[in-house]
Amino acid sequence: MIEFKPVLLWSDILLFVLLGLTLSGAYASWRSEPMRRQWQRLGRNAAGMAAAMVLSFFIVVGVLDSLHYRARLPAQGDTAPVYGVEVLSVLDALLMPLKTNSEKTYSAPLAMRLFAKEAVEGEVGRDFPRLRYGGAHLGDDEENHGWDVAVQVLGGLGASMAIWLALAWRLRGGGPGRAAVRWSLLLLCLAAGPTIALAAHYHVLGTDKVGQDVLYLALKSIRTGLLIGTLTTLVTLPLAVLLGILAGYAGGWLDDAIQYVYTTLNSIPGVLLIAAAVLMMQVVIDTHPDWFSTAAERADARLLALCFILGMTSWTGLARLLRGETLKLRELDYVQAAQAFGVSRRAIMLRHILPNVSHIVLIALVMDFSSLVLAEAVLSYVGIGVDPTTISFGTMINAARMELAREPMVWWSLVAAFSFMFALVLAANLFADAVRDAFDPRAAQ
Amino acid sequence: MTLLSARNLSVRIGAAHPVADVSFDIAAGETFALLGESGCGKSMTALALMRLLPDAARIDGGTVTLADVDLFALSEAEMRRQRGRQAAMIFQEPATSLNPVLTVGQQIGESLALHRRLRGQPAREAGVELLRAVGIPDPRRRWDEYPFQLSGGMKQRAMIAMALAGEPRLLIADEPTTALDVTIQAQVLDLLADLQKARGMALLLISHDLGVVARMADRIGVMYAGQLVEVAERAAFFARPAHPYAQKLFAALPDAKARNGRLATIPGQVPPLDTHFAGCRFAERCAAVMEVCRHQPPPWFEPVAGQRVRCHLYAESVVSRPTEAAAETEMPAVAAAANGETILDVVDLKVHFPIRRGLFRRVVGHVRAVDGVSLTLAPGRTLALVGESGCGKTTLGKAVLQLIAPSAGRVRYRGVELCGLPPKTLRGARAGMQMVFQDPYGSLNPRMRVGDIVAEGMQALRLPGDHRVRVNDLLQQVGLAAAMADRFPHEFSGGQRQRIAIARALAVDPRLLICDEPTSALDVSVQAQILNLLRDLRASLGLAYLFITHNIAVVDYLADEVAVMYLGRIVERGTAEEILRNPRHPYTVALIAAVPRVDGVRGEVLSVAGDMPSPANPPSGCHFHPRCPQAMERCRSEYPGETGVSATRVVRCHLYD
Repeated sequence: MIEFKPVLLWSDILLFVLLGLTLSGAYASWRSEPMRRQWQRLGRNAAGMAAAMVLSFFIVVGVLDSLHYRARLPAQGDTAPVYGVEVLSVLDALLMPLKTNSEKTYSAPLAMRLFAKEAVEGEVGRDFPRLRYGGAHLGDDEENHGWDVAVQVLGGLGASMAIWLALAWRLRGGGPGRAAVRWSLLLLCLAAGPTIALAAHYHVLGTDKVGQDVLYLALKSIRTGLLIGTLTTLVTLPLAVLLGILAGYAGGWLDDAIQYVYTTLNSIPGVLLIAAAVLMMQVVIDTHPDWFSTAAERADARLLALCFILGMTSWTGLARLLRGETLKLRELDYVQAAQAFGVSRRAIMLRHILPNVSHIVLIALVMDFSSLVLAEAVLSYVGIGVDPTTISFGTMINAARMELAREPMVWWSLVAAFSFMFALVLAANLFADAVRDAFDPRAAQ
Repeated sequence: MTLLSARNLSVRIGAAHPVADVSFDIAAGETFALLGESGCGKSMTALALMRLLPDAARIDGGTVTLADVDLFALSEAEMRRQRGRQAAMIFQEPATSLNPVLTVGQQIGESLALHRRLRGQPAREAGVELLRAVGIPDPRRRWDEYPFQLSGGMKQRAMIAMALAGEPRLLIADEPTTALDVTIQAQVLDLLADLQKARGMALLLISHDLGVVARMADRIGVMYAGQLVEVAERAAFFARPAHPYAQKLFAALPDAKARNGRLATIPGQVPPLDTHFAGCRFAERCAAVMEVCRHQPPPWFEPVAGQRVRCHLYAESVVSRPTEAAAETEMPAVAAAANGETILDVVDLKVHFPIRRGLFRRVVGHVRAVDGVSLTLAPGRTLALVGESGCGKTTLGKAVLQLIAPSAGRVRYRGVELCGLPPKTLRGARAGMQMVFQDPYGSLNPRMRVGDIVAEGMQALRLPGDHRVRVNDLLQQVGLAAAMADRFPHEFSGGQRQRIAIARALAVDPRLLICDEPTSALDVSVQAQILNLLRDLRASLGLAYLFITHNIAVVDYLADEVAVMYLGRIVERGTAEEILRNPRHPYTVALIAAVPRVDGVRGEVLSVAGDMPSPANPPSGCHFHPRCPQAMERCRSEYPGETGVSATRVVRCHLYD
């Protein structure tokens, strides 16, 4: 008796492919000794390792949110099993109370009553109605609210400290990198423990206009941000590496043609190009509703299309960089030695050029990631980003536009989106710096 | 009068001591040379004197007195006044020691304003005078020019002018001519000697080149692994070096006398600087090592007045002293092919690079890098291609290999025409000719294992047989262990890398090896190892070498025939004996005279003035006439044809028509 049916969205497949490629790439580079020494140098970088810990939290959330399924509906007689139309993820399952415990509308973080006055049944005049779920366990005992919050926080802190001590004991010793891992784990535990404890009874970051828990929305946004930041590289990478190296090594008319393409592409204002492409794609999707069996699939298609469009417009920088580096490398003696052996062009590009520009590719990828996450937020804010039903930092910020204009102001959506995105982008940037320090051959000396 | 006095100077970088307990004095008007191979701490000593050490390094002890001022007791602000005014420094690389966005005048003016309080017109006058003093022609125009408008030799002169602007009493010259060609080097060394004489400056010369030191120094200090091991007067040192290390350095120099033997080499490598030395630092590599050397640091001995040496061999109790090591073993003379067979036949080869300008990239001219060169080479013979940088010798080597497509002419390898062959057919001919490059750090792919690097050619040409076995054999043949095949290039020293590069070239069993300055990036003792290896390989495999170099001593040691190249053309060609002992072409004469000789004897006074013209716009008539001391009216209008001076010798000069 199967209780659910796994669903593989296209973006899930691509994400797992990318994950697999990354892992096998990491394994391959671990086996090549020069690369391994560079990874070890990365491991000794305290800031880089702390950033890696924070990033890995985001990645775990993103991967959990990418394991999709459709739940089985209660059987009606002997008919074949029927599955719900809503596509859920493992993260949804874990956060089910957060997902389902919606209030009526806005409520402040940790509040017990709604943010807006309403006419309450059985009373005269308007009052702030009691929340359906927020602090429900206290019943009418509203005086104890602050006391209860403090107890929950302390309980969460205690549990998280116990977990951290156990982890830190396992990770004792080692250099500055290992120490940084321990301390960043402490910070993560200190943040997560009270949040988890409070989330059982309250809306930790409040609720939005339709009463959805903001913490849930922020956690769901992580996957969108990660997908945009990583899947886009699936498009940029082959284009940039192939065209960049080809232009640099082959020279002649091929170089001219490739340079022409990317200078032209670069001189069109990026947002305009993206807006045009997104609108065209929207029309295509809207005129073919039969292509998608669920709303999730349609939203997913739109997300992928956005990645594709972003990728098509952002490969030029890396390609230019690689062309320049290849121009330098092809004059080096080891390339000339290979030419003297009559090694074919393809083999020279694969064996001599590509491995020696790989550090540039890696550095560029990690640095592009944060700018892509930010680009998604900006595009969604302008209204040409992801599908409105997709939860993302951009859609949250877009919604916050109206909330900030209210009196009194609703600030928590924006703050939640901002702080999650800030943590993600800051961690990615710090990690990118650490990667650059470790892999830049000039820094090695 | 002692001007500079360093006592027990030590520099520390972390656990390493790049300079340990160094003491020396320099008198006013004297030239003291610090001689040593790379990594021996000679540059670090100079930087410590100026208190310009890199951040990681600190002075660990000792004192330095300059004109009775204790430099290490000064504050940084006071020290700044000493720099430039009391002691100035010139560096190795003229291309990077001038700021490219400031004019020469602005850079010299800065120094004049700082030390002599000259600004505006007086500064300009004084600066132009300085430029004239360092022998820059047309100094008024040069004052307003940018560094890129000057040639390498001019830049070094401008750099010297800058150093002289503060009228220093001590000039520290850190390898001042290493980056320059021999004819330019001769000019700059002459200039330094003249300036020193005229101004009574003390000169601290740092060099790895025994010839430069012999030419310039009054006294010499030999450094090894951070220590001074010998301090001596020039005459005494060059007559009879006392320290075993210094003796080995002399024995490792290639020259004609060593032609039929192997060069002496020093086993092992310079020890890493963080080693804890219990005894003599040279003990591990010394041929005359004794028990006491290993655990007791040698004190100073003075076997001859004015020659001090740090070696236990000169203790009273030691009887047997080493004499200079002679050439180690005799080598069988190479049987030259006498039957007229040729392996390489180059006829009228031209490589012209187009100069494109403007919007439509129209060709407005050509750089004539190689302009009509003809050569023949017999199997088993060595032809040295000699010339200064920019004369087109490397381009010629690459054009012979078809790495650069020649513009015209023919290259025949064993009678097969290579020019214009389609790539597929050419690949078959690739195996016969291979190249060894100049820079051992740039010629090995840092991301490939040594075994894969060596096997690359065999794979590309799909040679039969077990490549792994062959790689192991090759590594042993060039003097490396077979187990090294699994390592990466960064683990090897410069000399070992050059061996790997040679093994890679040998892998496809070539008959002709084009060696492009294979030893110019290496220290003397390592150069000797590589030259010995090339010699052994020539004897055992019967290889022919096209040896591209600017080092006349190497030519003398290795070459059978010599071709001298100037501005894309060969000006003189003949056997090594003829060319080196009895040069005919004025350029060859100047080139050979300009090489500083270890015995300190100066060659003919005939030195050439000026720089090499650009190959994009060569002078009319004979390319050499603007620099030639014997130029005639005819030389300006007409390029001289080939004149056969003897059966084996051809000169292109109107003097011999």
